[in-house]
Amino acid sequence: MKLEIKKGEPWVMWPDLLVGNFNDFPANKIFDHKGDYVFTIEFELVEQITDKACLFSKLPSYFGVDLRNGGITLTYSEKDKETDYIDANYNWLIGRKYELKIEKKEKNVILTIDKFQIFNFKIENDLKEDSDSHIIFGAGNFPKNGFNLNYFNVILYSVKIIRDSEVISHNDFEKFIHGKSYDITGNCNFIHKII
Amino acid sequence: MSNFDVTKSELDKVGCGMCLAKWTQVTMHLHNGMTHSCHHPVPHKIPLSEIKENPTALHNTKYKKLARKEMLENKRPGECDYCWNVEDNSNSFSDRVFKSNESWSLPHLEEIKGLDWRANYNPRYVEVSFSNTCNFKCAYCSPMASSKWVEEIEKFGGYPLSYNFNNLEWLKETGQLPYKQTEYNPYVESFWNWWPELYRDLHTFRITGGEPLLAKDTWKVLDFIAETPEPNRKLNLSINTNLGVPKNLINEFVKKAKKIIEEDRVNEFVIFTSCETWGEQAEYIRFGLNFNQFLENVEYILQELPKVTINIMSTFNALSPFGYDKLIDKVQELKEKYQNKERYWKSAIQLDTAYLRWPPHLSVKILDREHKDLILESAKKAFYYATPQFTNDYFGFSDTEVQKIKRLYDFAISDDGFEVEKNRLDFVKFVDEYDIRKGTNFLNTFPQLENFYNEIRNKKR
Repeated sequence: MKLEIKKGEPWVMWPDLLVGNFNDFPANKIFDHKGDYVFTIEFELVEQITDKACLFSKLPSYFGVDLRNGGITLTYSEKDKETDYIDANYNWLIGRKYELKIEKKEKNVILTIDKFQIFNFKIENDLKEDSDSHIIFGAGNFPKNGFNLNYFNVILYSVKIIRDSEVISHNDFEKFIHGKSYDITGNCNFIHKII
Repeated sequence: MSNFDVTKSELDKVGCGMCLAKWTQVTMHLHNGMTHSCHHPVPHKIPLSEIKENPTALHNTKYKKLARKEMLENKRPGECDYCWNVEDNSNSFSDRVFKSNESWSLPHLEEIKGLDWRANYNPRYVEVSFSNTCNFKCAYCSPMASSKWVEEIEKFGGYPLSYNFNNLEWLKETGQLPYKQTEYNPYVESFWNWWPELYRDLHTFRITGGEPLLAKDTWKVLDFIAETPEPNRKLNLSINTNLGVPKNLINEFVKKAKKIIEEDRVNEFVIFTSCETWGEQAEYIRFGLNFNQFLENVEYILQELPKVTINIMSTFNALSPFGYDKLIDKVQELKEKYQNKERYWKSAIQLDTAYLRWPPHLSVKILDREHKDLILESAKKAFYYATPQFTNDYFGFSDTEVQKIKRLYDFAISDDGFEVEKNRLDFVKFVDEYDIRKGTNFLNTFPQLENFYNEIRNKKR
């Protein structure tokens, strides 16, 4: 199954404050984690990218991946530093499924697409953390904020998050309950549409 | 400073044990002449000699006035030890602060602290039970709240568990044996003598039972509110019902409720009902229940009374886990189907899950871990059904509804010295006797508990 995200209709992983009652580490805080983690997203493009298109963004301290026509950008925010970004060329194809993986090992951040390394860089400080982190898919911001939106049409097949060596969330979009994708780990890290 | 800090400070200025609920709140068990203000103190008997002279003694007993005296004189009444334990052993606010902070309490602080302790006071939040007449005898209920239980125990005696469960002897010894509805009841008579004056000041009035729709006095209250030329339009009216009474009574109830609501005679009207799981398992727990008829009645009321909210009070017990997820699905379906913006409360229907403490042989604590884990799965399901953030939908499970189910799971797996083995043995004895007396079949109804049951039986031998 799949999650079809339509342009201008992003989805978010920000389960609810209650999620803390069900697990010790809500997956929407994964980019705040000081240890190792792996964030894997499987997706398919349904149209040619013309402008910048945000695959996902973690807010409020920004961490996200934007796709461009012929390229990819990873934007990240380290503690005590300005938000920075790193670019690479990449030739996107319509109708092809991609597996994009971001792996943090100690201070190294590695981004691969279909196991092919795109970025590998070292951060000096920890990434910025927030008390209310959330991960938006298909936009760089909440629609109501009206800027840095970078909407696009995209299909997601899977979002899987490993913290240290434990899978803490896996949405494979096979099942939806009340408009929320079902987290098959049982940890209730669901993803739902922003209306 | 939070509101609670301010309220506590104001209460403490009067005295370290001050609590407005002693004046503003009352539960009156008129079917056996017991009363208490706040649910923590044990109910005490209302002397007949007091209500002869003063019908407000249904609330303003001499016993309660002495407790008020202590409160006004910087003392802590012994019967309120629940709150003193909280205050002495934690930094949390106790219920005396929460109850005093309620909108039916706090506005009366100045008036109350100036009163003489001997003064009568009209409560604002009143719960009343007119009769224990009931057509159900739920597994966890007792003769005190069900006439059907009285009939059964009179015929067969108490259940021979490790103690004599639901026997009538202690009720007789403590003067708590309920009046039959057909008998003259001086407490009910006093209530009606007091009612015109009481009604005028009420903030909240809730009728419990027994089954209130089988109590003639419930209908008298509804008729009064529906017809009085000077309705108390600030009144929050609540009625408990098992929604298992004959259809003509449901129709009559809806008709009267409709009149009261359409003529804006109350501030709100909420119906409380009960259900602990799904289908025939729910029918086993609530003996007398026709589950499908119950659901039909729920839908009928939600359809006919578009401003009313139905609150399902679920006393979650050892027999609940196996169908609770289906009940959650149904509640969600009804929330969606009957949502509108006219309801007194936000949701058309709510599932209010509480854990059963008594009788202990029906507590979820007797269950194996695999069965307790079903509660966690139910909590997760309710969480998925929660009203999502960032959407315009407003139907779904509230945070409170979700948290109460999760809290139940935490209670189920907690280790607090509960006597598991003793209560498991009592459980098996109980269902064996229950099946004999009621013609039910536990193992056919709960195949999920077959191994559990057999293992305990084998140990018993």
